[in-house]
Amino acid sequence: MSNKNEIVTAYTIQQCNSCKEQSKRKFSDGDYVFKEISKCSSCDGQIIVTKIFGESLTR
Amino acid sequence: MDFSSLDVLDEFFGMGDDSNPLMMLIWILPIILFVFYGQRIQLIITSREIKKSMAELEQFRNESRDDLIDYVKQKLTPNDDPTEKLDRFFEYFTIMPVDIDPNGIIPKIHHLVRSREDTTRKQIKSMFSDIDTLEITKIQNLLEIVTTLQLLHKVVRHLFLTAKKQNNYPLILPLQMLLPFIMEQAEALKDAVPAFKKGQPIGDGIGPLVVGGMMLDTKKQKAEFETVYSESEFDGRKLILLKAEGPYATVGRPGEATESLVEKLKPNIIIMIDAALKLEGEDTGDIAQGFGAAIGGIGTDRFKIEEVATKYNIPVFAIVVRQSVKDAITLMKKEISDQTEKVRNQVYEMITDNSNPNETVLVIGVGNTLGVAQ
Repeated sequence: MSNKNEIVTAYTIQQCNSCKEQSKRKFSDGDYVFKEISKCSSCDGQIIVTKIFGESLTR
Repeated sequence: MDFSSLDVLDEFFGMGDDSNPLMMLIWILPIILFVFYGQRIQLIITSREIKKSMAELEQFRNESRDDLIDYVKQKLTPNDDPTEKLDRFFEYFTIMPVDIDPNGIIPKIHHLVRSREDTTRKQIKSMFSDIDTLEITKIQNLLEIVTTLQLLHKVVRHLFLTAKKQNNYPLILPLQMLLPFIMEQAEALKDAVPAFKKGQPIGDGIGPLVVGGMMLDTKKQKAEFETVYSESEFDGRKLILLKAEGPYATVGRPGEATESLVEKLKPNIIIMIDAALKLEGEDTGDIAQGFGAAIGGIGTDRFKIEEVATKYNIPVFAIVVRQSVKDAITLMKKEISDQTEKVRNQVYEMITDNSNPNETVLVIGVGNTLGVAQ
């Protein structure tokens, strides 16, 4: 049986496919892995979602 | 007051004398009671626990049903009130083919499963004037969750009520033994609802996640219904990459797709990547390599892959990522997601170890590709 006080938060990791700069943010509706987000501000590469996962906090 | 001479208890209960009739009665009565009514007493005690689990099962079923109906009403635009139609879907059952003579049963099961899927899809489509593929597949999966929870509740209730009706304690024993496993599955199903509503990747999606990454920047082609493939190259080998079409909530049709790709492109080896149930004591995210078709489900897809691999004498290799039932159908855990690169490296290693340059390798990412594109 699972812990009743377990809170799972979904996170999205996005990465520039050129300079490999990575950032982590909370998941937002419409996100999916390998979705193209925008152009990278530092190198003009393409930023894509590389991971979506849940991290749990147990109270 | 001096109590030292007070021996009323000793006199009355005959503590020092085994032949006291009252003492004998106190010992014998419970024995008689347990001999004749023991099972009923156990039934009463067990019933209480089962009733609690049944109430929980009903709550899970109701919550997931309400979640689905609210989702359809609020996020989508149904033509009419969908409640009645959805309630009818939850009651759908499947009559499995006769297995007294099992010869040729696989095509029958395959036909049955596909008919059910196609009909459900059509019925969902008919509820909306405009609905995209992602939403259809999400609703299909959510329907499956509610239907399974409803079935679990009904079966548990049936076994419990039958045992109660017959006053038959042994009849309730198998239920008592199975209940923790049923509850584990039910809880996993209930917890899966949010991920399906939001379109987030689930643990079972590790196979499509690994292969989807290998498919980036390649030309995607339709292999089968909701199944895509692309061609790539690695270390002088030609790679055929196959997965369900993401980010839809679907497992695609890997059986049929493998059949047609093998017939067409004649690969030298097949590598399958899938999620696999971990044993108690194993860690979520453990990676294991092996042989054979790594694919779950009712068995028809595995049958097709095994058939075509045997026909053309193609070795089938497997890489699995261990996880629990709950991990497999709920939002992908970090421990699983973090293994993506490691699994991909193992796939490449497997390719170089088991094939020669200029050969063709079919790599299949098996699992539900919800929230994972390519």
